[in-house]
Order: sequence, then C-alpha cells, then structure tokens
Amino acid sequence: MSADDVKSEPRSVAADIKRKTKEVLQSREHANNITDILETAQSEEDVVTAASLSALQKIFSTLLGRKEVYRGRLKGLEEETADPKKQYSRWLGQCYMDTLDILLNRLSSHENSDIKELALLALLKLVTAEGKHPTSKSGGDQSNFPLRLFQLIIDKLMSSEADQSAVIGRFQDYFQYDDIRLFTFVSLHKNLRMVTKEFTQHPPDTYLHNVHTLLSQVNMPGEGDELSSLYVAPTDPDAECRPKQLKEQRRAFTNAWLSFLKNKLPTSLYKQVLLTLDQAVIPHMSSPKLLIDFLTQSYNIGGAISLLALNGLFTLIYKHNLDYPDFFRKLYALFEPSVFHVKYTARFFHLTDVFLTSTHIPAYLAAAFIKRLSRLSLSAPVSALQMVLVLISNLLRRHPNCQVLVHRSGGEGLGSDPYDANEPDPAKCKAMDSSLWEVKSLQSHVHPDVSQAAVLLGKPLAPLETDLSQYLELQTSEMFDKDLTSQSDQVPLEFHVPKGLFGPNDQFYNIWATEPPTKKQKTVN
Amino acid sequence: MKHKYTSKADFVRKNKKKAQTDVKSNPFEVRINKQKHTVLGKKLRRFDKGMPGVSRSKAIKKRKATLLQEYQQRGKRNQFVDRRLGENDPEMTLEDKMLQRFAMERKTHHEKAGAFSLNEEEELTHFGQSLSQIEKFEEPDSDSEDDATGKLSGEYVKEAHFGGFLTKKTSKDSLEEKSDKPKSRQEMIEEIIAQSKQRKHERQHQKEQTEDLREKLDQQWAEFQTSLHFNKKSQPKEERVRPKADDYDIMVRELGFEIKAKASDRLKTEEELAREEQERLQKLEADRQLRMKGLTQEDIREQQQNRHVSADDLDDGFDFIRPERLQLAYKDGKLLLPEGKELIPSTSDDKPIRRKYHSEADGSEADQSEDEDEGHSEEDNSDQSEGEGSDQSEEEDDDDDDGSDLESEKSAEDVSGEEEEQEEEEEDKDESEEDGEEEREDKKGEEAKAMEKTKERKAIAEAAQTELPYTFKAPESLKDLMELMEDQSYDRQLIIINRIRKCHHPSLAEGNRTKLQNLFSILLEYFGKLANQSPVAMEMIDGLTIHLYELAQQSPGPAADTVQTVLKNKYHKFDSVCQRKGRAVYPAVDTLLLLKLVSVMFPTSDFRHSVVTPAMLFMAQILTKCPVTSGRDIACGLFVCTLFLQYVSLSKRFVPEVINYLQGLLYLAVKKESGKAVDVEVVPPFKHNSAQGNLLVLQEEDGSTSMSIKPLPLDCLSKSPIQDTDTDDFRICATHATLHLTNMFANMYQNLPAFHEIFSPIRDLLSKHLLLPAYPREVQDGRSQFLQLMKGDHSQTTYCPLQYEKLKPKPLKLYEPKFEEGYNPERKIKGSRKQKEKERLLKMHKREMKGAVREIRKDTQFLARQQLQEQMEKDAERKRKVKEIMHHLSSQEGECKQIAKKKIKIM
Repeated sequence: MSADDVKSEPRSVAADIKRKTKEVLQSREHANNITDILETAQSEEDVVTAASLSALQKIFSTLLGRKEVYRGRLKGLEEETADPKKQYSRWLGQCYMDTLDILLNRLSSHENSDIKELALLALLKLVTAEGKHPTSKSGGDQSNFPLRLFQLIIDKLMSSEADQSAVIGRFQDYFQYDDIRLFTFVSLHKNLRMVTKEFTQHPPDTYLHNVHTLLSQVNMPGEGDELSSLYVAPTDPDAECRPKQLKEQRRAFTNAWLSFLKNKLPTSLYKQVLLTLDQAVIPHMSSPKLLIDFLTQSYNIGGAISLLALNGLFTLIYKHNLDYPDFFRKLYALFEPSVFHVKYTARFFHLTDVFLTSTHIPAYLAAAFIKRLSRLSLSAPVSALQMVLVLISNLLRRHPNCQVLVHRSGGEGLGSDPYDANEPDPAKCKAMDSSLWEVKSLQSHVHPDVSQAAVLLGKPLAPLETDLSQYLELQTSEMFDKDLTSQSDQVPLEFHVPKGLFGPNDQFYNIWATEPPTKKQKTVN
Repeated sequence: MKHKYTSKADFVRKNKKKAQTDVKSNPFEVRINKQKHTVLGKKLRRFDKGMPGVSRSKAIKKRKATLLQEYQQRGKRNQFVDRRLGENDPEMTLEDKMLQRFAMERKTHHEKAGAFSLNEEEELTHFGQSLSQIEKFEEPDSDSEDDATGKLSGEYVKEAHFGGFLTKKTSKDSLEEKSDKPKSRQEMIEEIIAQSKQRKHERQHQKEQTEDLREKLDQQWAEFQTSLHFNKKSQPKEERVRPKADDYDIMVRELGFEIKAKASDRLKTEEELAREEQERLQKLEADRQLRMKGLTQEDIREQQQNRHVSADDLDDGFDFIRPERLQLAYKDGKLLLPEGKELIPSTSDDKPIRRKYHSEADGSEADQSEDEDEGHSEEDNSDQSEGEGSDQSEEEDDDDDDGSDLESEKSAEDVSGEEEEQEEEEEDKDESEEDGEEEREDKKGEEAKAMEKTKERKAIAEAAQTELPYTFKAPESLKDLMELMEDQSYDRQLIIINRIRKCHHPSLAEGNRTKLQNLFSILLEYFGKLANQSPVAMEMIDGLTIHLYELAQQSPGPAADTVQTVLKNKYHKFDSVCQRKGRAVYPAVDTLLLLKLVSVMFPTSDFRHSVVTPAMLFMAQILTKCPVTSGRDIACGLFVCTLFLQYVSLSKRFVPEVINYLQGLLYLAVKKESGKAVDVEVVPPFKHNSAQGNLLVLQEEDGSTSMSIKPLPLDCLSKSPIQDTDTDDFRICATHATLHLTNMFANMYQNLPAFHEIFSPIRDLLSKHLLLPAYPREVQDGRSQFLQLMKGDHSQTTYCPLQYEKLKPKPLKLYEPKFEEGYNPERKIKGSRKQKEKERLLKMHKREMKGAVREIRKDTQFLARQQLQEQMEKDAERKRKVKEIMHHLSSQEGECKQIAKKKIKIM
C-alpha cells in the first residue's frame, strides 16, 4: 500500500483495510497485511485511522483468542529463530506491542475526540481479550485482569496536556463493572504518586482536572449492593477476588482520593471538590477521618473556601465524632460583611443554623453570634436581611437567656455599645451586656418586609421557630416580583405638582447640574 | 295533543295557578304568627301569615302526581304511555275530551266503513229532493202530535204563520236575549268604555254649541254697544294722547326691566383660596403620613370600629380603647385646648394655619400652593403664549376650511373653556367686522382700517401655513407619535402633546380615557428614548414629566400598571445579567431617569407602594451588583445614591446599600500604596486590590486646592459622555458629591440607635486614611463636618438597653350599647359593591340550600308514609286471608265433627 493511495481515496482505503482484516483472520498467509494496517493507522485521515484502529482491535482480539500471539518478554529473544511457528508468534507479539503503542498514543494525544474514544474502546476490548486468555504472569490473584495494560490506559487517560473530559465521559459507562472500578482507583493511585514525584512543584491544572473528572464520575456501590459484575471473567467464577470486596473498593477509593487531595488544587477546582465532598466522597471512604487534615487546612484558608470546608467538617463532626477544638471560634470569625455577597451564602447560613441548633451551646456563645449577625445586618443587602432576622429570632428562641439582648428591664443608658466587634473570641466580646440596637435601626429599613421582620423582634417572641429555609434562597428578583404583584386596587399618587423632572427644591440640586443648558440653544429634533 | 310536557313536574307547575284559584280563601285556614308587638300599619312579612293546611295538601297532591308516580314505577322497565286524546292536556274539560274522542272515533269508523263503498258520489233523489233528507222524516211540527189538544200553540203560530211577520223581534227582545248569556268581564269593561266615550263626545259637542252661541251673542252686543257709547261718552276724552315719556321715565323703565344680576356665590378672597389649598394639602399630607407608617384608611376605620364592644362580646383579647374626648374647659375666658390642637381661626384676618411638615420643602410650600394654579394656567395657555395673533388667524382658517374639524374643536373648547373663550370673542369681533366691511363700505375710515386688517391677516395666514393643526388623532404607538412630532422643535412637540390631551379629554367621548392611558405609555416610551439621547434634552424631558404627571393623576391605576411593566422589563433584563455573571453593568440613562420619574409621580414615603418599593429594590440591586470600573460608573452610582436620598428624605428609612456604596467610593479615593492593604472593610461591589482601586485618587498631588466645585453634569451618566471623566476635576467633584451625600445621610440617620455602628467604617476611613489635604476647601469642609457630627454625637447618645414594646394596659370592658349615628335599618350591609354582591349570593345560596334540604326531607317523609301504608295494606290483606282460611278450616272442622256425630248416630 503506497502513500499515494491513502491520500487519493480514504473511503476505498477503509474498504481495503476491511478486506485485509478478513484475509488476515482467514489464513496466516496474509499475516503481512498487519504491517500495512499498522502503517495506515498512522494516517492523517480520520476515516482511515478509525478503520485501521478497529481492524487492529479485531485482528488481535481474535489472534489473542487463538493464542497465537507471544506475550512474554521480547527483549533478548530476537536471535532465536529456530521454530518458524515460534518465530511467527514472536513477530505477532511484536506487532501487538506496536498496536498497543499506537492505540495508547491515539488515546493520549489526538485532536479528534472520536478517535480518542475509539482508541479507548479498542483498548478496553483488548483488555477483555487479554483477560480471557491470561498469560501465566499477569494478575497475582485469581482475577485475570490485565493490570499492566490497564495501568497504561489510565496513565494515558490522565494526560497532563489535554482535557480528556469527553473520553472520560465515555469511560464512565465502564464503571458499572466492579473490577474496572477497583483497578481504576488502584491505577490512579499509582499514577498520582508517579506524577507527584515527576512534578516537584505541583502537577499542571489540566491533569488535576482530568483526575477530578474521573474521580467524580465514579459511582461507588452502597453498603448492601452485591458486587458481582466483572468486566474480565475470572477463571473461577465463584472465587472471592478483590473486586468483589467492598472493603477493597473503599480502600482503593480512599487512597485515590487522598493522593489526589494532597496536591495543590486550583481555586475553582478546590471549591468544586469541597462542594461535592460531603455527599459523594465521605460516605464511601474507608475511614473519613483521614480527610481531617485536608479539611482543617481548607478551613484555615479563609473566605469562600472556609465556608465550603465547613460542610465537610460538619459531616465529620456530626457523623464521625470528630472533636474539633475552637470550632465555634473559627465559625465566628467567618462572619464578615462579604459573607452575604458570596455564592454559597444560603449553604453557609443553613449550616450555621444547624451548628447553633443545639440548646446546649452556652448562652454567651449564642449571644456573640446574635450580636455579630445583627452587626453584619447593618451592611447586608435586602435579600439577605430577612434571613438574618429570622435566624436571630430563632436563636433568641432557642436560648432564652439571650433574650436580654432584646429585652433588658431596668437597664441604664450606656455611653457606647459594650460589644467589641474586633474581639475574635466570642467568649470575650461582651455580647451579653449589649442590646440589639442594630435590629432596632432595621425597623426603619427601607423595605417593608425587612422592617416588619425587625418590628417583630421588638415584641415578645412567639414560641414557635420560624422556618429559615424559605428565606435562605430568597432572591431580590423574587422580592421584586412579589412587590409588583401585591397591588391594592388604588395607587396613591404624589400630590406635589412637579415643574419638571428635577425641581428646584430637589435633593439633586446641589449635586447635579440639572438645569437645561440654556434656553436659547433649542435643538431641533 | 296540544302541549307536550317533558316531565310531570312541568305539568304540575303549569296546573299550579289553576289549583291556587280553586282554593277558596277559607278564613279558618289562615294562620298568622303571633306578633310580639303589634304595630299599626305594619305589613305582615311573607312568612308571618299563611295557610299551612292548604299548602300542605297542595304539596301532598304535588308529590302524589310526581314522586309517587316515580315510586310506583321504580321497578319497571317499560311504562304505559297514555295516548288517549287530550289526556295530558290540562286545558281541556272532560266534556271536550269526550267530544273529541267521539269525533275521532267517528272519523276512523267512517274511513274504515267507507273504504269499500262503491257509489259514494251518487245521491238519490225524489222529486228533486235529496232522499237522505226525506228519509229522516223530519217534519217541523212532528212533536205537535204529542199535544193533547191537537191545536197549534200560540207561540208557534206567532212565529211561523205569515212568515213570522207578525212578531218581528224587537230590539229589546234581542237585548234581553243577549243578556241571558252571562257577560264576560272583558265584554263588560268594553261596554263601560264605549259608554263613557260616548258620553264624553256628547259633552264636547254640547260645549261647542254653547260656545258658538256665546260668540254670536257677543257680536251682537258689540254692535249694540257702539250705539250706546255714542250717546254717553264725550269725544275729546277718547282722543287724549298720553304724555310723551321723558328721559327720566325711560331710564326708570329701563332700569326696571334690566336683568338683575343673579345672586351667586361670593368670590373667594385670596386668603380663603390659599387656606383651602392649605387644607387640601394638609389632608393629603396627613394621608401620606399614615401611609408612611404602613396604615391604610381601612385600618384606621377598622381601628375606630373595633373600639366598640357589644354586650355579647367575650373577653377574647381585643383591645378596647376609648376615643380621646376633648374636655371642655375655660381659663380666663378662653377655651383651653390640649397641645397640638388649635381652634380653627374664626376671623378672616387670622393667618391661615400653616403646618410645617418637612424641613426641606418648608419654604417652598407656600409658593408651591400658589404656583400650582399658575402652573396650570400656564400649562393651559401654553398655546397662546405661542403668539396670539397667529393662532387666531389660523383658527379662522380652520373654521373656513373644514367643518368636520370644527365640531371636535368646539367640543374641545367647551372643556378648556377659559382659554379659548378669549379667542372666540376676538374671532367674533373679526367676523362682525368682516360683515361690517360688506355693509358700510362708504365709510372711509373704516375701510382703511379694514384694509389694514386684511393685509395683516394675509401676512399671518402665510405664517399660519407652517402652524400646527389644532386637533390630532390619538397616537396608537410611538411610531404614530413620532410621525406627528417629526421635524418639530421641542416646544412644538409639547404643544402637540397638550393638544392631543385636550382633544381626548375623558369627558368628551367614551373611549378617550383608554386613549389617554395609551398616550401615557407612549409618552413613557418617548421619555426613555429622549433620555438615551446625548446630550439629554432636559427641557423636553421636563415638559414630558409634567404631562406624564398630569396623565397619571387622571387615571392612577393604569398609569401605575404601565410604569410597573416598564420597570419590570428593565429589572428583569438587569437581573438576568446578574444571574448569569454575578455582576452587571450600570443601566442606561433612561432607567436612571425613569427611577427619578417614579419619585415625581408617586409618593416615595409610603411604607409599601406597588411602584416605589420595587423601584427601590431595583436601585438597591444596582448599588450592590454593579462593580465600579469607570468614571461613568461612579457618576451612575452617585446618581442612584442621590435618588435614594430623595426617596427616603421624608420617611427617613434606612438603606444599608447606600452607606456601603458611599463608603466604597471614599475607599476609591484613598491612596493605596502597593503591597500594603488599607485595613478598612469594604463591601462588594467594591474590593480590595481591584484593578480600579485608584479610580478616585487624584493624579496630581497639588494644585487643585483652588479649584471651584461644580455640580456634576447629567451628561456623564451616558455611555459616551462628552466630558471626560478621567480628570482630576471630575474626581474632586465626585468626592465632594460623595461627602455631601454622606453628610446628608448621616444627618438623616442621626436618630437611629445604631447610628454609630452604621457610620463607623466611614469615620475610620475619613479620620485615618482620607485626609484630603490636596482638595479644595469645600471638600475638606465636608469631611470635617462629618467627623464633627460623629464626634459630637458620640458623647450624647446613650445606648439604652432595649425593651419590648410595652403592651397597653387592658382597659375594663364597658358594655354599653352601640349607637350608630344616622342608623338606617334598610341599609344594613356596608362595604363595596363586590362585597354586597357576594353577600347576596351567599344568602341566596343558603336559602336555596335550606329549601332543597327541606324538600328532600319532606320527600323522604312522604315516601316513608307511603311505604308504611303499603305495608299496612299488605298486613291487613294477609290478616284477612288468614282469617278467611281459619274460618274455612273451622267450618270444615265443624262439618267434619257434625258428620262424625251423625256417623256415630248412624252406627
């Protein structure tokens, strides 16, 4: 096959490849066609590449079945060429290695993601083929899983140059097989270790993104699920092998995650990881406490990441008996004016509400939080204020001792607010001596709903708590629409007759030049 | 069959009337409910009097006809349909039915019998007479044979002999004959009417005759009289001429006949007018205050209503507050009044009470009330101000040209009377002069004048070619309006709008109100369009604002709806960007000016307002979501802050967003050294370490201290401002404006308990970081003023611990009867028409429901009775049969015994 033909007609070439494949499979005479196909696999035409890749896969899965391919160590065997049959099989072994090279190459770096996927599928087919007819060496235990090949696939999949998310998406379908899942984690763990060694500083973002994509797409089996679906059938189907043990799966999962989290993650990825950590990762870990280091570190970073780490930390404290010193002090420190403006405000306040649910929290602590919240409310946007006020009222209900903040009988006037906003320790901030003057100020807030909510705090509280959840996600647009629709049948109008858009007694007068420039310059429209 | 009834119920209903008339009103049937108090002349209510027996029997009869029938038919699949003639016709009497049936029978019989008769047509005769007649043997006197005497009776003779000529029936007889039959009521009435008519006619006739006679007599008397006069009276007396009336007499007469001026209302003095205006404004202001607190008129009314506690009231926690009553007391001969209440001035010299209702507008209020009228008239006369002469001539032209316009023109004039009256007068004058030209051409002076006039008019007419027409069609869309406005100056555009409004005044035609509402939305659109132009045509916008305000006054609801829709669209556009990116750019000038317009049209101080509250939310959103990246952004932000200042200037409500924003702007003015963060909190949209962190920092260190502060031009709000905002001038102005606004807000919020906490970040910023040495004096003054305010206040404010609002002590309940002024027992329900309608329907529904339930209950009772009856009948039957059988058996037994006895005997 000459290069000219390849260029001339890709379709006919593809057909030709098909014919050749058939011939190879029919008799050994045409075995030389394999080299041709290997050559065409390097072609630049996608159609030709695709055809040759699938042809190679077909040929070798059949040949592997026939046990004609030599799969031992190839080095040092070149000289011995006595037996033609052996020689043929060695030659086939050589070709098989070339094929794998080509396929892995295509998988790691090809512009067309279709080809990548095709290479991946071909490789996975070869994995089955190898698994069916294992060499004596492969796989230490009963499972005939070709670990070596699989490791190669994972290595290539976790490319540090290209975004592999499309291919990984295709790979996701295979996670239903328990062995694939397990060995993915195992290989990933190995791969991560290797890469971390390789890049002394920290691995590139693309690589980490790829790893995260792969990790986040795994569906871990639950406690009671039966683990029996295997991609590569073992020799003895009833034997206990690693993929069938949940413990093994979990251990591999934990190792993979931990080695992933050891790396320095880019911020966006960091946030993503923290978001999914408590739902997708912690329940499946063999021992979630191993995450403590990671979570404490994240919690100490501050800002949005702290808010998010709170979630995972909460799960650990709540479900896994983590004793975290200074937790509330750190939580207290998280309350800053910017807390209302980040994306995860609702989640944060939900968690705060949960943390402060306990009535066993000391009153001074609750008072500190209440006072802090009310101080923050002075600079909070409208949409968050109702939530804050409801949270305050709920806290006051839970901790009746704190009601001195809104009602202190017989107190005398003070020169200033005893509360120290700059004190980081909630125990020392003297919140209990203070009062919620901020809430009192909010009673004259510009929005009627907020004002009403604040007025409610000025009266003896009703015994039942208000449901916070409906205010957590309150958007300004929702409030806007609600205000628009709450229309009475008559609308009051302004009774001062205007003399123009800006009157002489307007507040605009001193600040803006509202006078029309000059009467003489009449512009004709 | 005449009628066919769909159901038995129909049938019965139809018969109802008849049945009612059948029942004679038997006084023993009537039952009257006992009245507690007998009131003379009071009519009994519908349910107080009735005939229970009659109605019960009627109901039973009805049930028998309907329910019983159904009950009896209940298990049957097929039913008998009564097809007998007239059976279902209630109108027919039994006799009629029989007759009809007989006729039918005969007919069918005849048809059947005649089916095979061959010689139907032939008629047998004998001596030319039909045999069929002869066969009947009918002789007129056949019955006379029965007479024993054998003689003809006298009556017969009278009638039959001599052709009956002897006894021609007299009219009297016939009348009698008629009267034999009982006259129907209808006939009687007709008779009476006929009689009365006849009598009337006769009377008239008589009267005419006497009239004729009298006239005749008069004539004769006149003739006769002349002859009499001739004898008695002297000639000179007859011819005496009345003395000629002199001027004085004429004057007196004239004065006597002159139309007297009708008594009219006294013209109000200026003071009174001012006072009325004052009172009106005070009332409106009081309303506004209430709305600011979030109370509506209804709430207040409710509060007042709630005050009363009836004797039946339970002690269930509703407060009862006695209305404050003024205690009448005198001191030194003067009426004592509690604080805050004044006597209404009784004499006109007293200065009208002028309440100071807000500090800012205090001075302006007086002029405003006076100006208001002026403003109106100015507004109305705006087309006159255009130049009277040209207008008049133009109007003439109009009148001449087309008549169709004239009508609408006239009607328009009716409304805006004053203004056009003048014109009309002058027009009339013109016309009369025109007439005069034709008539008195010989008078030279006049002629010359007229010549002059015509010349003048010609010149004006030429000018009028370019003039505006007086009537306009109401524009359907902005495009229509733009067609009208094309190539017109702004002044003229305003005139056009004014005329459109006048032509379509709501009182002129039916659909005008909607047209004006449409005009409102179009003008609003136009407003937005104008606002987006650069430079902004402020004069036109001002004019439009006035129009929009007045249109909104005419129909508040739809205007509010329109503004709401526009706001909503703008907001959602803004919000969608926010949702997508998390931040947004400052909206265009039209949105900003629209927000300003909202404050002009609607009261911004209301606790909750369907337009203003959303508008404020929008503004707050702008201040929190839009990052500041350029001078224009700063200008926009400052504009919105100023808007907020205006919105809350009366209600003094707290807006955290504005304070955050002002603080952020001041932070922008702080000079930041690289690598060293300023330890001041900033709230988003402002950030530490942002690229635009030095936007307001002066570029040149010195040399600007002597600069004069100018107010910011509106122009810098537009996206492509003419003036550069990247200058130190702008920065200084903006900083000054920020400080000014901060001071205004600080003054406003001084009384808030958390005043210090609110402003402490700004204080820190100003006292530590923003020392403003290189700024002009005004700016520095602003800073020191603020710091002074914060410092001075610090010592004064005492932080009193909060306490719950004290509950008002519960007063003792006084169970006194409720007296209502002007109580009208017939008008019980108060409330809107909707409420009344609902109440009425509910009542109706309840009544019907009760009726239906009662009917159903009675039906079941009836059925139960029926079943019981059947059961009893069955039982009786069974008893009878048993008895019979027993009887039979016993007799049998007896016989048997007898036979046995006999047998024994025989044996």
